[in-house]
Amino acid sequence: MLFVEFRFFWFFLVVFSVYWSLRENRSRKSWLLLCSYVFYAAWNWKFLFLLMGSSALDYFVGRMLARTENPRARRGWLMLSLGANLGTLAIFKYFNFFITSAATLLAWLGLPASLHTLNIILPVGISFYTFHSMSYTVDVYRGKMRAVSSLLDVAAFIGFFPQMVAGPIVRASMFLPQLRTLRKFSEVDVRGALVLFLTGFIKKACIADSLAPIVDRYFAAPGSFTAGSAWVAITFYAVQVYCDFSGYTDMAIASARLLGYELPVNFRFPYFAQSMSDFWHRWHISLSSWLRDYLFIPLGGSRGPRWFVYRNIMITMLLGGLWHGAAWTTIIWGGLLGLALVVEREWQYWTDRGKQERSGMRWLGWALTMYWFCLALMVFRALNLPDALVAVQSFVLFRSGGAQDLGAWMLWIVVALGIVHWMNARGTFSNWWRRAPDPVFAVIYGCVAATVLLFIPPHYTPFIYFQF
Amino acid sequence: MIATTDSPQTSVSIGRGFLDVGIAVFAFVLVCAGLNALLPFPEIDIVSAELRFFQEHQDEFDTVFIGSSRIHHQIAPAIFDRVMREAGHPTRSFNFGINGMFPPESGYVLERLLNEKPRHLKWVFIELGELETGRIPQAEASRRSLYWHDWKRTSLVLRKILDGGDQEKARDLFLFHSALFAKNFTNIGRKIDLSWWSSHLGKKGAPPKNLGHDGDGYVQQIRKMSEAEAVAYEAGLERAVAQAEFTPVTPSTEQAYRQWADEVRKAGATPIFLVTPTTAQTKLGFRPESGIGGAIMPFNDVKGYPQLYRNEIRFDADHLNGTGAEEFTRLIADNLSRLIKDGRIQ
Repeated sequence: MLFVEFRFFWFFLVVFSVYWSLRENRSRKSWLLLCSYVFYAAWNWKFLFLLMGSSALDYFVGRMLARTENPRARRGWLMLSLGANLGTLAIFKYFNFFITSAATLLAWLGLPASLHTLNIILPVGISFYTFHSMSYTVDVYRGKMRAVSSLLDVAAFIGFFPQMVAGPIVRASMFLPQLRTLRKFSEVDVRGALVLFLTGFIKKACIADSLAPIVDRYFAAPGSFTAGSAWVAITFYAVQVYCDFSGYTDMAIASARLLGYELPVNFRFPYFAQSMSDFWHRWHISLSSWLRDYLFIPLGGSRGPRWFVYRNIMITMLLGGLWHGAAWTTIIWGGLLGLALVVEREWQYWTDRGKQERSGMRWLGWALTMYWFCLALMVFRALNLPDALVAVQSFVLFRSGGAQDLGAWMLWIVVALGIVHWMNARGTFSNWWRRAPDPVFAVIYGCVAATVLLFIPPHYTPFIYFQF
Repeated sequence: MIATTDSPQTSVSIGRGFLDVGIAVFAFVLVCAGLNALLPFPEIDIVSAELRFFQEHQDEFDTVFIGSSRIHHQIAPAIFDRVMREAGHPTRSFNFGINGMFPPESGYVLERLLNEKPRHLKWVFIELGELETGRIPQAEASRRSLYWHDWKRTSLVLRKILDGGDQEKARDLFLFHSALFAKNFTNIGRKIDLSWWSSHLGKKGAPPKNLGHDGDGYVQQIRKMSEAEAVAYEAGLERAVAQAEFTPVTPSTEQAYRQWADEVRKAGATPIFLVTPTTAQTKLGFRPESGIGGAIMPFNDVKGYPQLYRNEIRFDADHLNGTGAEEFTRLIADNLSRLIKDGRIQ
């Protein structure tokens, strides 16, 4: 069930109506859990058991961590949680990738081996809910939060349907306290949530899904297109992936908000970033901060000699790439972005930071950041490594043997979207709709929603981040 | 009722909340309906081009045949007109048969056609068959399966589904057709029609591709059955004859045909229902109390029309080849002349 489908609208209407008509917090949480499981089962009910198992295990580990002060026992319980969660992820997401990569390596070394892959379906949202789940046990282990005594709370947190399948990645320490108190409808910013949902819907259904066929066409055979088309395709893909993912996040945050819960902000105008580190403070913030807190810092973070910090950055980014998909293209993508972060740090080390504050440098920083991000995105989107090489060659060297042309004129769409995005960043659209009287807002909302539907493609495209 | 602290102020705000939701829904529905009425007719493969052609030449025709491939490939207007002329009732007919166009889609197209108000229309031959409610996997995501899902058509289909026995199947089909109606009513993806319309402003649309050799909508099928196919066909026919019985169409189908017959009469023409010569020997008809009127020409009767069932003039169990189509067309024209002569039709 996708947020942009009619059936989600009906589903949410039922969830919303029943939820707010219940008076007990426990009943509400039970209802939410039931609905979350129905939402997940709509995709594949069999994998519901995996989700339930993950919730039950981490609840149990949390309880065990609360019971003992013995550091070895505590570490053991944590390892059990991490092992189970990462093991599940490894089996369902990475097993075939590692097997085929090992077979290729052995063949390359002249030791051909017949290794068998498994016919595995990747459970939707597994990368997201295992991270939700692990954040709970790690935070309890670190003493950042107390273990929760209610299994219902842990299960409702891990399974909460707005954020379960594609984030944002919510920390237990942020969400579980919200579950403890009865939410009040009078405190819900209904208007803000409705506008946010519609904004997300427009981003996903009108913009991302309209650009998808053009991007797909290019990446199906990058070698048959001109170099100019590579620029058009990657610009469109950058817009598509942003609108797709931030659109999903907007709808997730809005749905949660309508039920009285706050989810973390996940995007803060990332395409206005002036450096790669600035970019990661704006793009998929919930993942980058998760990786920072649960991987980069435990590795040693920014303390220590430069090479040590750079090693930590590269490990974090390579694993971040791997998180996005079991493929060499995503690992290289992570590596390229990690490399940019290393170069940026080195640059800052050797130069006077004050110079970067100059306007010209800011523009240069923005241009370089976008260029490098698009280059890495080219590898990320390519179907395989040879295609990635062809696409990158077209993009960087303006060299391509292909003759098909996507038409550079189409970039005006991106310019128009960029202007709207810029106006939004400056707050042009942020408040006028709050000042309108309720009936006027209702009329405008109804009219805009009806008009927006004209501009969505007749067939839905799955969210890009569902595959992660 | 939303549970909050029970102050009178909150109750008022809940009431206002419902009112605002009502206003938003009303505005939404109004805009959808308005856009639905204002948007140009969708560009549907074959259908739109043929409708445009008919619109341009509507006053040239007084007889129209409407239905599926069993009309499109089996009725030759040139032959029909010749036989009618020889019988002293000159006509100028057009074959509006389109492959896969079954009721209620055919009813929707008929309505569009009548909305053009053709001035000389006298006879409208409508292929008679049960309302099609099933899902065709290859076509269900297509615009062709979507565009005719207005409330009039969808309500007929839903009624037929609910009247059916298989509950699980009914639930699936009910949701399927309801979703298509919602999609059609809310104009999802109709920007494509706006783009098409704006890029063709002032230009003449491409001529329809399937008007056939004489430009009258008939396309003949030349192939004959192979020996093996003929054997299987004969066996199937024998089985069908043994099972033949009279079956009135379902109430929802009857209602659909009543609507279409009324519309044809309102347009000043006479509806004639045509059952094409398929091997299915179910003698379809309306209940006497249905009040639909109009003549029915049931050609799916191997005893009455054995000449249409010889395997050498068949394309397959459902269709005739070119030779069969000529014979079939002549029979329709003869039947019509006889009905006129006997005063059973005006």
